[in-house]
This record gives sequence, structure tokens and C-alpha cells, in this order.
Amino acid sequence: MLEDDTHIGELVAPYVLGALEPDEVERVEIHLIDCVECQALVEAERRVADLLPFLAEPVPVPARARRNLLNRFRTPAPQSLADAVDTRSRVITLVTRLGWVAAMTAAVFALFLGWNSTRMQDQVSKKNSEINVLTQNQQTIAQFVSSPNGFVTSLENTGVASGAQGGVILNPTRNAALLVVEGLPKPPTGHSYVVWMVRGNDHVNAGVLPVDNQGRGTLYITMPEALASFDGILVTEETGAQVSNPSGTHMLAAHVGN
Amino acid sequence: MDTDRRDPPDGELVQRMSDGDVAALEELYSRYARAVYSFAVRIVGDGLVAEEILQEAFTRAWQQSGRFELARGSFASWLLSITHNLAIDELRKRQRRPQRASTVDITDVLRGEVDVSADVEEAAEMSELRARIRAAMNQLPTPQQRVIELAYFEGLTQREISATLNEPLGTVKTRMRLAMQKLKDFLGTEEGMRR
Repeated sequence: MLEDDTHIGELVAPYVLGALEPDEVERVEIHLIDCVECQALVEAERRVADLLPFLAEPVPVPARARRNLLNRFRTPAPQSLADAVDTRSRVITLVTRLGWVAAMTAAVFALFLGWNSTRMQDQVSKKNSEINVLTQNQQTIAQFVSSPNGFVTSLENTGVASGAQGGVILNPTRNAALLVVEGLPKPPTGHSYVVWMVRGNDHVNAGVLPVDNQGRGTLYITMPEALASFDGILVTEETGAQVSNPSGTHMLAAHVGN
Repeated sequence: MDTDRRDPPDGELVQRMSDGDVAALEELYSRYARAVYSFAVRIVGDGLVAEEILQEAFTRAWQQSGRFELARGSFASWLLSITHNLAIDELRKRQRRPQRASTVDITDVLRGEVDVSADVEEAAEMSELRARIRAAMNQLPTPQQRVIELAYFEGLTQREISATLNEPLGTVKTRMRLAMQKLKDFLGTEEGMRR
């Protein structure tokens, strides 16, 4: 250990552990620029610090983390645009056949698919580092709308976020739903958008709706209970993700019952 | 940290990743996801946040893979260093804002599916590293273990540790220095310390 004033021996351990104040870090890093002895000390202690992560108790990794990660990097297939057009046609056909769905619904999903197509065009030309959740969503939409029992409905804006709009595709056969929004501002720090399945006065937390910097978000919803037993979907802004009842601002809502 | 004994070696996979090979990324994920996720859970104590950190760590590894230099350290060390920075940043952000209503029970996160291949692919070397560092830590007096944990896993500075433990700053500095010296002595002669 180099202890004299011309070296930084006392600061090496806290430096590699990240326990120095900013001014001390600056002092260390300036010194390390041209002190080979202290560089060696730091290197030796960093090897010890490199092992500290393994003190953590091993925890099984959720499978969805792999899927979500890989979806960020997989390049969309060249036929994605054609698929998008085809999917759009199928959505419209489905909407026509179901009859009861408002024209607003088709407009929302045409908007979504148009946005989806544009995004995919960009992604094809970019390096694989762009997030590619949309391809998965598109495939999900195709699977959803191809179900004879599937239906779509629009999310009504409560007026809090004036530009926000979106829709929900429900597939009772798979007991799943896909919620898509855009124009929703990112929530303030520490806040989250929480999606609720509503049945009368009961609300079931269906998950946190992630929203990107462009105000876009999607959430794939699955529930242990039958989705058909709920009569609405609500999106609220909450101060925590794991709240059991909505207490924050209502942002968007949809009626999903018959 | 020697975690590059498998075939193909990590260095080759990182090179392939920098060329845009997603399969290489997935192989590295299978090898290290559990270590990264466990480490993140240990720091942030929240399964969902740890999952975000896990994905962000591998995303950054992908984006920065062209700049990775095997000669300067193993891929595992680099990846876990990225994870540490992300997780400590998250902790510090939380200190500046209201806490979440509640943390997520890890069993909730895992209620659905567990990534079995991430468990299976984890190298035997990782288990060895785990056993070695635990044995080394157990050699330390409890107060020395505590300052290491507060600094490394809770992101506290020496001054903050001094305040937290209500101990003089000089005592904290001495404990930290002695703890790292003992760990180095204990681990330093072992083969696994080689890169």
C-alpha cells in the first residue's frame, strides 16, 4: 500500500467500491493518469471488487426478460410492410363483420398500424440496436384479429392528456388483450401508468403501461380470470406500480362488455 | 475473473455481437443473465426494476461491444460493472424521489415462467466464483463486511456510511481498507483471480 502524500493508497479501496465523494474521485483519477504504481493498486483491488456481485443470492430469471431483450434486436422481416397492410385489411374486415364497433376504432388502429409500418421502415434501415417491440405487436395483432371471437375497441380520452388516444384488442379465446396508446406524456418521475381491468366497482391491476419518449406504449394483458367477465379497462397515473386500487388521475378508459 | 473457458469463448461472442449477431447476444445472455439479474435484485430489491436493469445492461453491452477490450478484463466483469452502475443509479434516483408504494415480491415476478436455459447455461465457474467470494467475505469481521455491503450494494459513500453507522469517518475508512486488503490476500493467490 502506498501511504505517503504523493500517492492515493488510502483512497484506492473506496474508489473501486464507489464510496468516494465526487471531489475525491476527481483527485484519484487525475493522479492515476500518470502514476503506474497506483494504477497497479487500483487494478488489483478492482479484481476483488469484480467478484463482489457474486455475493448476491442466485435468483431465477423470468423468461419474458429474454423475449423482450431479443425483440429489441431482431430485424423485422422484409415482408413486414406487406403483412402490415394485410393485417390492416383484416382488422377492417373484422370491424365490418362485427358491426358494433365504432368507426373510431378502425381509425385508431389504422393510425396504429400506419405508425407501426413507418417505424418498421425506419428499423429496417437502422442497425439492430433499435427496439423492435412493434414486430411482436404486429404479429400479436395478426393472431388476435384472426380469431373469430376477437374484437377491438377504442380507449376514450378523459381529457387529462389531450393528445392521448389508443385502443384495445381482446381475444376471448386466448383470454388476452393488447392495449396500444399514443400521445400519452411520460409520467412524472416516480409515477407510472397502471392499467386496470374493471368489473363494477372492482379494479384488478393488469400491469404498468410503459410509455416511450414519443408517448407510445403497448401492454399485453393476460389475467387468471376470464377477460370477458370484465366490463371495462382503465388507465390511471399512479405513484406506485403495485397499487391495489386506482387512486390517481384517470387518463384513458374503454368499455369492453357487450 | 476467469469466465472465458467455454466454447465459444466470451471474447469471440462479443466480437460476433459487435458484428450484429443476435445469436451471440443470446448465448452471452444464457451464460450471464442469472448473475446480472441476481446482482440487480440484490441492489434494488425489486424484481421488475431488476428486469429492466437486466435488459438495459445487455442492451448497452450490445451497443458498446465494439469498444470492449478483452485484454482489460473479462466480459463478465464488464457486464457486471455496467449492471452495478445502472443499479446504483436507480437507487440514487429513488433517494431523490418518493419511494414506490411497495416493492415487488420476487415470487410475483416469477409466478409466470422462469428462464430455464439461463440457469442451465450458467457456467460452473460462476458457481465457483460465488463460493470463493462468500468464503472470503466470511473471513472478515462483521463490521468490515458491513462497510463493504453499504458501499458496494447500497451505493453509500464513506461519509454516508459513517452517518448511517454512527461511527467516526476514520473508523469507516480503516474498516474498508482492511476489508479490501484481507479479501485481496484471501483471493489473490487463487487461480481464479487470473483473467
